[in-house]
Amino acid sequence: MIVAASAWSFVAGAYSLVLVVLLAYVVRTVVLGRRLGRNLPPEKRRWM
Amino acid sequence: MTPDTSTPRQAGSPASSPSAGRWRLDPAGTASVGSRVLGLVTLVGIAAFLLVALVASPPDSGRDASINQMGEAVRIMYLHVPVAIVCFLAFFVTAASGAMYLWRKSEGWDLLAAASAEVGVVFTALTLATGSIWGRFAWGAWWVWDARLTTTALLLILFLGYLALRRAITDPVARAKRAAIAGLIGFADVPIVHYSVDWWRSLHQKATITRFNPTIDGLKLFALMFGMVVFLLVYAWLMVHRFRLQYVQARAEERGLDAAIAERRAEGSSGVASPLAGTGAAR
Amino acid sequence: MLHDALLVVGKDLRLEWRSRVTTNQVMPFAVLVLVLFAFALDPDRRILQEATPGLFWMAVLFSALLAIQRAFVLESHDGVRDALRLSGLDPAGIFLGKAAGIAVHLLAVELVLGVGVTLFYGAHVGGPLLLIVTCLAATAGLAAAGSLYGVLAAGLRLRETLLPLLLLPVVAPVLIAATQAFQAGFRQASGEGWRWFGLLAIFALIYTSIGIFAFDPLMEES
Repeated sequence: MIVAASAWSFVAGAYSLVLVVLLAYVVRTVVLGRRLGRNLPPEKRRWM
Repeated sequence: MTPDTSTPRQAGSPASSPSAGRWRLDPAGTASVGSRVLGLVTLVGIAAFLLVALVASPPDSGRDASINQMGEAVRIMYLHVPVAIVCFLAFFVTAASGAMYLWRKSEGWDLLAAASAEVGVVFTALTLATGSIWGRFAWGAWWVWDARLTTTALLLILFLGYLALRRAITDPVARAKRAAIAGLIGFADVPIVHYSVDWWRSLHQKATITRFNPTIDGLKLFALMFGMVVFLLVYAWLMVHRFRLQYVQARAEERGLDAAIAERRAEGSSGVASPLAGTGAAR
Repeated sequence: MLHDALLVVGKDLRLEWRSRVTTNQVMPFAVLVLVLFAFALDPDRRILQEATPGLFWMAVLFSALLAIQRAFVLESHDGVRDALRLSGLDPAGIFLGKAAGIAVHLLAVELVLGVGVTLFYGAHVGGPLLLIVTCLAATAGLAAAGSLYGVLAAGLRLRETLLPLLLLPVVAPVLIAATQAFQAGFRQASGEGWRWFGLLAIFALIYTSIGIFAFDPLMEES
């Protein structure tokens, strides 16, 4: 079995990967929404 | 990401932004008060989840260990299993919304299917990545031709194909219909792939690889369950925004089409004949 | 429905009889794939013999892509698609007809490939019955799934690149099952093979029924 320090590096790798990817995706979604949404007339913005 | 302060606030928009500056609701964005609250709850949830999964819960070793004896690496599972569940949920939502679209023929179901597929691709890729990291630790290899892994990999390609098909079709009705059927076909394929790979593997190797055994209890079980709740919240938040983004894109397409038609009409009325232009190009 | 299917099959086979695209292009391509596999793997027959079932079905898959492209390019030219829709033919019949036409082409390709692997790879036929029914079931599944995706990608600008991406992951079980059944058939120990044949039959059934129901909305669109 691999030593605990090595296990922690796998754990850290997995968690940071997921968090970074999700954060990047969230930022991208929000930015894209703001950029495209600028062209949407306010009366069609049904969620506001 | 720079805060956009140049756009003036709409006069009619509800004055509900909690604070000024960077964190106020952008009137042009896809956020609403509800999604902002959901986002805050999700953020708090993620912080709590990290605390539980990485600090509070004990390693899988010693007296209370499960039969897998995974040590600290068990923490990968608190992440991997919820992400995988969201990935399958996303694909299910895509297929079910496709079926609903074929039944009700309303745009909303199509937008929902598209949004779920987009989020699903991200979660499927993360499932494969975290599973691979786990596999490298537990089996010593980044990849094993196991039924679950292989099915997930094919699922990712199916999702990518679904999105590619959507991008390739310009007419919204044709796109919705074809995409709905593509989603359903893909969904029907998942169990067949799983069984065939399962049989294929069992033919070649008798000893099954060590799997994550769900016989865990206490804080470890809590971490797993809490992870599921948190990632479902993440999925919900992403779905809200992606759905609205789809809606914005659909309206933009519509306006583009209207503009093109108006242009064509203007051309026609001014007597400029455009022979052959656009007659067969659409299909 | 079956009558309409026969009409469509007849049309497609007549077109093939006159144009000979499958006989003159797809079949030589399939044989070429066999030769290329030999170049890539080994001049020594040992590896080739072991891999024969898989290579055979890979060659079939590649040829199937060509056959499906061809079958639906026929329909997108000159508004044949509209003509088919206006003709009052049952959509399910059109689907069955297209699938049957593709299946006939594929069976011909498989026959040529069968001769090819016997000659080039020295394949030895153990259980001919299992091999034949495997070919039939796998071809039915490939043709049904292929027609579905063929019509999904039909008429799009990007269909040449889109069809493989959509179709190949879905027919992965066919590749696995047909390869395993062929392995059993070549070894004469065909007990395992019949289970794989069952999977192929189920696959063909599922995709044929999806096609029968899904062609209606697909044909009525825009």
